[in-house]
Parts: sequence; structure tokens; C-alpha cells
Amino acid sequence: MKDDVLIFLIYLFLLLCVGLYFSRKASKSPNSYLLGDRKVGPAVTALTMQSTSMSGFMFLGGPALAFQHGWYAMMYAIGDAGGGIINLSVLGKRMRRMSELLGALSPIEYLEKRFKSAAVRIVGSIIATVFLFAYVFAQFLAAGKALESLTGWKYEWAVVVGVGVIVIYTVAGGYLAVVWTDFFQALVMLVGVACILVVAFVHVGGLSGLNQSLGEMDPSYLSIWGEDYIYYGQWGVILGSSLIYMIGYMGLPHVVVRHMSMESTKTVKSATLWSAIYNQLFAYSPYLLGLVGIVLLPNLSDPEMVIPTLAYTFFPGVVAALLLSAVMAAIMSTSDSILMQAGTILSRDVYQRFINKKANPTKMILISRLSILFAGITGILVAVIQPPKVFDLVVFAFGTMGNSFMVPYIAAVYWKKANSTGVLCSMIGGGITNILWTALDWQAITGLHPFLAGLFISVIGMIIGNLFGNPPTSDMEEIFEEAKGPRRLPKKVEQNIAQDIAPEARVISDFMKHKPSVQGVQR
Amino acid sequence: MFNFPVESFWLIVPWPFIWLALGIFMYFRNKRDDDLEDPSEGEVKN
Repeated sequence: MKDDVLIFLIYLFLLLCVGLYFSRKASKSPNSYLLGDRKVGPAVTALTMQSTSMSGFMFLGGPALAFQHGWYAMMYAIGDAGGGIINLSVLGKRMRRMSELLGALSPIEYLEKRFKSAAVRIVGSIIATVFLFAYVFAQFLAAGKALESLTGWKYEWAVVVGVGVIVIYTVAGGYLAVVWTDFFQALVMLVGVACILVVAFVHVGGLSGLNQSLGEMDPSYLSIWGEDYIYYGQWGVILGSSLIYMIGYMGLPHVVVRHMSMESTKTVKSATLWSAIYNQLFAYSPYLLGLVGIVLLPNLSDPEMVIPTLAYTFFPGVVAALLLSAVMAAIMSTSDSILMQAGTILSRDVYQRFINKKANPTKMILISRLSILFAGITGILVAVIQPPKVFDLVVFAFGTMGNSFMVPYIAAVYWKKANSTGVLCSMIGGGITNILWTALDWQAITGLHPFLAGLFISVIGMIIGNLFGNPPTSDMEEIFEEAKGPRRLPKKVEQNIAQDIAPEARVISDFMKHKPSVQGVQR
Repeated sequence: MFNFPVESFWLIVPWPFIWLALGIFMYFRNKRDDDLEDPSEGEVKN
């Protein structure tokens, strides 16, 4: 057996061990299995959020985009680098509080309980299930192809082995296994890409040398408007490219569930800092390697292979394989989270909500495990067979989920009067707009990125829909206020209150000091 | 600088510093809020 294949097998074995280690802990209750008992600390929260958000696209599609369009691709990286900070700052504390107050274990259940509407859960479950499945099928396909190219195995075997490991540790260890393997894989991703980037920069003469070479090849590579200035003046495209990752993650159920599983609201503080540092070290690197590829690999036929080709160019086989574990890490850390979420929705939002409301905790854990197993096996079969129609959906997966869920999640914790009609209009309107914009290529006509168009319609849908339907109940308004956390009064108000009560306080103080006898009261 | 055109430089290079500054700012803002909250506030009770 080749050494690099052995390295991958050891890597997969380690992941399996993590899953089995957490299997007993996960079996305690549905809360343990689906949310890790809400005991996830800041570093793990931040890094699992990042590695889940950043899929195989970061190592394959992202560098390919940079290879084709130059510095324009960095607009996506800029959004990605700030996505975690924005996500934690906007939703973190409030979603953590509200999800626990509502007793919600899944992000879709959370929406139903917040807006008191079964329709929200049905529509949410349908959108999430369809696109999460499409998303996970694509990740499985990428996992199989990456493992095939890195080990030389037959594609079918690569899918069965690579994805089989993901399915086993997710089924066994549940949410805790997912977040801890994600944490580990986030570090692998960072180390892998950083090592390749350092050596690559030495070869091209640093950032200045890279830009000089790019400018000599084609000055449009140095612009933010894409190759041959294809997007020149189209700020709607440039802005959308950044926003999709900067705020879009707030609409992905498998990402926002990280807010619900945090140990406490105080976790947000350090998680934000972890996220800020990790992202600045990682998010730009794969795109920079794509730019290096333009200079060092001008004849590369498949742009998606920029990073693997650079790794094998700079390093001996075994070291390259070790560094390229990062590619598998990125794919696997996203796959397990989506698989976990798809299983959660099937068990909690479909089975327990509509089929067996009185399922006991033990049965719920079993159903959750079976749901994940079902999703995993279906995914393996689809990835092996590769039916073309299914993969058509993948193009819409990220944007559609982002446009469907982002506005409802934000409204849930920032708009007290938001109601279920507004949420339904927002989810359906935003999702459909993204699908139509992408499928009919309206970006070319309007100069507006599909994500930006979907966001606009989603916000309008929320506002207009909210004019109809029932307003939230008073108990929900109380929960909303509680989820906002303790409020501090403005300093001026505090000063006025202090001045107002000062005479009264002085009298009480004097009374306590001198303890005069009070008529009618025995001392 | 770094052989960038002026427009690309100002639209790309400052971002890592902006995000890092925002992360640090949010850390201290959340720390202030946490310090003001009841120590047991983190664990919301049903």
C-alpha cells in the first residue's frame, strides 16, 4: 500500500474513533444527541461553524474561480472572512436564549415555535430537506472524487469508504462527534493550506511578485471586475459576491444550529474572536493559491485541481498527501453537519412532529440515528449513480437556503411583531427568486447577483406579509423580550432616576441610621 | 502598493484588518455586556 493512501486511512480511522468516543455520551437524551447537551465551548463553536460553512468549494471551486477571474474571486473570500463574526454577533446570543426558552432542538422547530405556525415548519422542512439533501449529495460526490484522485482508488470504492466513515461517526456520536471532528478538521484545513501557500509565495516572489506576474499576463486579473473586465461597473454582482458568504450563512440551518448548542450566551464573546482570527488566517489562502496557479500552472487543464497540483509540485508524495488531507477535511466537515441536520429534520421535524408525537427519548435517539443512516445511505447511492437531475439542484442549494431562512431567523430575534404570514412570504419569495434568478440567468440582464435579488424579495415579503395574519401572542412577546437579554438604561435616564430618588433615599438612610420610634410600631 | 492598481488595493487589502478590528471590538462589547449581566444569566432556565 502506498504511504499517502496509508495516511488517509489513518486520518479516517482517527475520525471514526472520535465518533465512537462520543457515542455513549450522545445516547443520554435527544438533547445530547441532537445538540450536544448545549455544552459546546467557544473555540469548538467558532471552528465548527467555519469548517461547516466552508465546504469542498474552498479547495476546489474557490481556487478555480481565482484561476479563471483573478482578484475578482477575492470578493467571495472577503465575505467569507467576515461571515462568522457577523453571524455570531447578529444571531448568537439572542438565538441561544430564545431556542432554550422555546425548547427547540432543531432550527426548523425553532421557527415553528417562535411563530406558532405548523405551516412554517412544513414549508421550512420541505425547503431544508430538499436542498440539504442536494447539498450533501454534492459533498459526497466531491468526497469520492477527491479520494479517488488522491488515492487512486476506484470512484465507487472511494465514495463507499470516504462517505461510509462520515456516516458511521455521525450516526454513532451524533452532534458532539460532528462538532469535535469539525474542530479538528478546521485545524487540518488551516495547516494544510498555510504550508502550501508559504512555499507558493516563495516561488512567485511574495504578493508583489505575484501581482507583477499577473499584470504582465493580463492586467484585468488585477482588477475586481473579473477576467477581461466582464463585470465592469456591475456593483450588484460585486456586492452580491461578498454578501452571499458575509450574511448568507445566517440562513443555513446546519450553520445556525451552532448558536443553539453553545454552552451559554457568554460563549459568543470568545467564539467571535476565534472566528475573526481563524478566518483571516484561512479564508483568503485558497483563493491566493488559485492566483498563484495562474502564474505557475498556466497550462493546467482542470482549474479545480490547482491546489492538489501545487501540493504535488512543491512537496514529496507523502507530505503532499498529508497536506491534502485538508481537502478531505473541508468536504467531510461540511458533509457531516449537513447529514446531521438532515437527520435531525427527518426525526424531530417530521417523525416526532407529524407521525409520533409521543415518542419517548430512547426511541427518538434511535429514530434520529436511523434517519441519519437513511440520509447517508441514500447519499452514497446517489453519489455512486450520479443522476444528473439531482445535481442540478445543487446550483441552487446555498443561495436558496440563505434567501429562504436568513430573514426569518433575523426577524425572529429582532422584530417583536413579526408573524407567521410574513415568515412564509419571506421564505417562499426569497427561495423562489433565487431559483428563478439563477436558472434564467437574470444576473446577465439586471447586473444583480441572485443572492441580492432573493434577499431583496425576502425582506419585502417579510414586511408585506406581516401586514396580514395574526400578531404574536403576549407570551411570545415576553419570550422575545427575555431573549434580548438584560437591558441597560441609557446613562441620562439612570442619572435622572438617581436624582429623582435621592431625597427619598436620604430620608430612608437617616431613618435607618437614627432608628426613631414610630408611632404604633413596637420596637 | 504590492503592485496593485489603486482601486483594487483599497477595495481588497483593508478587509482583513477591518474584520479583525470588528472581532476585537465585538469581543470587548460582549465582555462588557457579560460583566453587567447576572453571573447565572448564561444558563437560561425553562
